[in-house]
Amino acid sequence: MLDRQLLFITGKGGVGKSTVAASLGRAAVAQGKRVLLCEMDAKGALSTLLQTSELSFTPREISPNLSAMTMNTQDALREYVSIFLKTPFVAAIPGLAGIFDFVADAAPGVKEVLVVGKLCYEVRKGNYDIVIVDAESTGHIVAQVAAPTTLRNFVPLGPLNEQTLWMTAILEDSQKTGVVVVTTCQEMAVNEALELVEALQTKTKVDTAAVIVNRVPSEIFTKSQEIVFSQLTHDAIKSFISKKTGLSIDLSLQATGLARARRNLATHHIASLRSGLGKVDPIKELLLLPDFSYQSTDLLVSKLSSELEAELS
Amino acid sequence: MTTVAELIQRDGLIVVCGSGGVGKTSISAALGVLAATQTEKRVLVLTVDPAKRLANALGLREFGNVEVQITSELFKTSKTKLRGSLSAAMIDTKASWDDLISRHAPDEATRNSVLQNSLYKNLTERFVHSHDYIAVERLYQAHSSGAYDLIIVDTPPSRNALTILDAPKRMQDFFSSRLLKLLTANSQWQLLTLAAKPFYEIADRLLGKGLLRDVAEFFTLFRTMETGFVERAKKVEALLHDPKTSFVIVTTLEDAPLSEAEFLSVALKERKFTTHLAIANRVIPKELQGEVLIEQTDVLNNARQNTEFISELAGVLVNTDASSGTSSDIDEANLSKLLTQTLETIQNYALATTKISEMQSALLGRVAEFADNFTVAPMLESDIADINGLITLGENLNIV
Repeated sequence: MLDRQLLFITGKGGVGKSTVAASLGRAAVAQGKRVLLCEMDAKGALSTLLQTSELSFTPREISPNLSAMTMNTQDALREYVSIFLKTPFVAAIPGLAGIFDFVADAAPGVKEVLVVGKLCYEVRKGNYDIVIVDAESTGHIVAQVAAPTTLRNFVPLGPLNEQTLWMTAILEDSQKTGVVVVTTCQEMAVNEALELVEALQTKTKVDTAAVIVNRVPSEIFTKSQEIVFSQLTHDAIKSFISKKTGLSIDLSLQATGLARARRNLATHHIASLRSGLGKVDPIKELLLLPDFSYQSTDLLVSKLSSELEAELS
Repeated sequence: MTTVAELIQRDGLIVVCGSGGVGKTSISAALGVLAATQTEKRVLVLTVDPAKRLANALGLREFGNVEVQITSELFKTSKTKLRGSLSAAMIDTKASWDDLISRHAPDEATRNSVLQNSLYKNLTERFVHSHDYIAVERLYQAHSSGAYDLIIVDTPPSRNALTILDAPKRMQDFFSSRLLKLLTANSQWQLLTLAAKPFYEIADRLLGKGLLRDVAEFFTLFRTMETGFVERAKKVEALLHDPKTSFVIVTTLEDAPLSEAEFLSVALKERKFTTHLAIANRVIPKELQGEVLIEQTDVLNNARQNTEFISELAGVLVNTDASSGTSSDIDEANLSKLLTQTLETIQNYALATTKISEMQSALLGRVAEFADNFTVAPMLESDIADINGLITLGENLNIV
């Protein structure tokens, strides 16, 4: 997936999109690529994860080969106007940005085209090998990647329309662009991921590069250990152990039981994700990432990125 | 600040907010069940996007925009019974917008023009944070119907949970904005006044001819509904600020959701809303908290390395297996090795649980800092799939 030039990382709120995006960025750098990470919602999560100061619209290199930026519609508009219309003075008209923000909010696809256009423009300029987007959550991504097409249908003529053609060429080329759907192994997140993959397939021509399940609890017992564990929870065995060792291990059994139940639940949800994805053809990659949620922020990204490197190599 | 017991005794609204994925919807439903079983109130749970299992847990095949009353039939296997009544509904943005337009449109022609306008669908999805506006609007509707004593609303997942609280104000600002007035100047020559001309020219150059005109037309229609919308937004805003409205922040004890909860509590305070209660969800169960497991890990460590003990235990296991009459396919040949491994795993998880609970109690300190009153809900072995799950969660919340 890191061979593509533009990756949109999306998923339900709270599944760890930003963490996965940052980790993918680091993994790509480790593969020797020049990377641009872009945060879409200006929440600041990406800068925290990368342990750097606040990001701006102009990309900044935060470590060798890793640059980062934050998206902003008004800046994107200003850039669009000055680059493509070659009329920089227009952008300087006071109040223009406000008007466009307003109109862009109303007309389908305008805002998305500006934003997606900026990302495609970075791809086209080729200053980076890969642009990784910490995209907005599920609700928005379909509209976003389909925006150039939507807009073309809505405004059949005009310069913006012409601009959308080269964007579509990048977005709809599965060699170049892909969406990465991130989920956790919780029911809601899995359902949303499945709905999203389906929507991407039916409503857009943008390829789904991979589905990543984040925070997968590790396997606890092998099958034969499992049998032994359940034997150990029998009252007779428990009392034998406490008689022999002088201490009850009940609570330890309970703690392990809880972890085991959480793991089984996760396995169950991953299975329904797999079978759901099986109905959508073709399935790309399904990556499972371990649960590092109790790690500190800096360790989180470095652990996840080495995990991804290993998985993707 | 309020306990859960006090919270469900009050009439009015409970706004449940927090980061995505922390279990807001389950907590909201559990609070609803608790209120309807502990008091005689008529309770409504309004939710944005419930899991199928949760809908099923409430006995609903699926949530709809219409309020559905949950029957006492659902409680027949439970010890806890309904004393009041419990209803649930989902917030469907599109349907609610259609409803609003129909209500505020001055006449049928305007209503149809708006509903059929090609920009309308896009607008209801996007402009002035319409999801958030609809959520508070639905809340107001349910409240003013007088059909409920207590309404619990599970806030929509938004960029930050505050947009919902700012939504009524934003709606009012929107109607009074210069931009709207400029755009909706209603005759053709006015579009060409000195002020507007450059915008329209540039818009046509940038966006394509006619797009701006379409937008302007739509908003001209929309403005005919100004009075209705603005009045309504004012009332909705007043309701949010009513002392009967309580705010609950839900978080898990992990860094990211907790940071968002802290941010939320500050922002609520800035807006003069009071956070009545914080709920820390998915906390290691009480009996496993702290260092209670440490001693056991030592015992487990010694036991698994004691070959004599292992072979004795193996003997007991095989005998028990035989006497219980159920063949559990125990691997007798490797039993000693398996026992050692299993005990080691148990030791590891006992230790890991201790570590997590230590981290959680440190993070709980952060919750205590922003909320004078908080309660915890335990990490559960499975997703909530029936009413009993919601009853148990509610009871857990109610423990002081």
